[in-house]
Amino acid sequence: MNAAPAAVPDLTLPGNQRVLLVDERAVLRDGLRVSLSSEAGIDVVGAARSVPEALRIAAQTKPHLVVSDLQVGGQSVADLMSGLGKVCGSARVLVLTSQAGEPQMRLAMLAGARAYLLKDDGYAELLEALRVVGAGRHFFSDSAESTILDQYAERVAARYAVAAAPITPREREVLARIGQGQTNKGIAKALHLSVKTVEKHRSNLMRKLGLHNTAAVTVYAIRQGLVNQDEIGGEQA
Amino acid sequence: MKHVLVIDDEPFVRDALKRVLEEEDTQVDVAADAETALLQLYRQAYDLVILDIIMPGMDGVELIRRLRGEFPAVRIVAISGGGNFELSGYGPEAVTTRAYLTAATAVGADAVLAKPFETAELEALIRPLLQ
Repeated sequence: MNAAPAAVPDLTLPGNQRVLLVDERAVLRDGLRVSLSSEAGIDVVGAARSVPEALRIAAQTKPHLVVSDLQVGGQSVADLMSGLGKVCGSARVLVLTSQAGEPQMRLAMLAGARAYLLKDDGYAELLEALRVVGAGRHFFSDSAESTILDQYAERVAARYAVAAAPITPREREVLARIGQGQTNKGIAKALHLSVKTVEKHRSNLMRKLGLHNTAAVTVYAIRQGLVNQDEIGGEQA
Repeated sequence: MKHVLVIDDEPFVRDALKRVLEEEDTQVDVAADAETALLQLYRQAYDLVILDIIMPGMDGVELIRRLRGEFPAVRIVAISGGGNFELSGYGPEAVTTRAYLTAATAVGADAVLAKPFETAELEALIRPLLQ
């Protein structure tokens, strides 16, 4: 008979890890309480359906680890962490939620959560998270980590897509003249355009290049070789 | 002929279970929620109840508690894929699936089964319960 691979966490640090569960759903609280209570090194000290109830239990039982949903009874995990700071400052909070968005993860971690797991992550990952956080480190489940990386990659791709947008020959001409220190009025006169049109070209190329001020545009133009060194220094009277 | 009641809020799952169970030579009734199921149980004696855990209204675990109090002889199989809220399609290894099925066992389910499951798994599970 093959022995199943041990998914038991190494929670045999000094004594059992006292764990408090916080979730609105009774079925989840009850099921997790029974499941985790059967694990070596874990002692489930309570299960709460609301933040006030969790804080009451925490004050009495001083849990090491608190597994909580992001929202419980109309309050957030940040409210829970703030309250825990007063009644059980050493408790470390692990978020177990169905909300997979990066903003929720960011807010939870900023508020002081030590781990972020999704409810469709594996039970073995929850055990691993309890072990890792119990040892003083942070933990992201694979799916939470993927979400963060995917959303970060999307943001970077969007930024490069903007930067890669081709600028028109006219915008390039305006860019070169900005690099030479010419004003909008001077550029308009030199290119036989209205000042408004030059402003529009300037704004478009800044958006496309991701540049936010004239100094940055000037540096960019110089780096692109659009400006001769002897042309730098501003508009000649 | 044994009489089975299937309780699941998803019509597709109800119908699929009904088809499988009828091939096992059972008479099958269905209900979409726990409250309706209780009314059916008051009217009709059932040998086996197969129920989903996450349903609108009374959940499957609460229903098992009621059944164990009022119909102690009925055999109960609880099934779950985790939940039907926000995210769907939780796998058998998911935290939620494990928690829900554990909770069902703790209150008296005779057997539990994680969705998705094969027909053969269900058949193997219910045959001894229908003896």
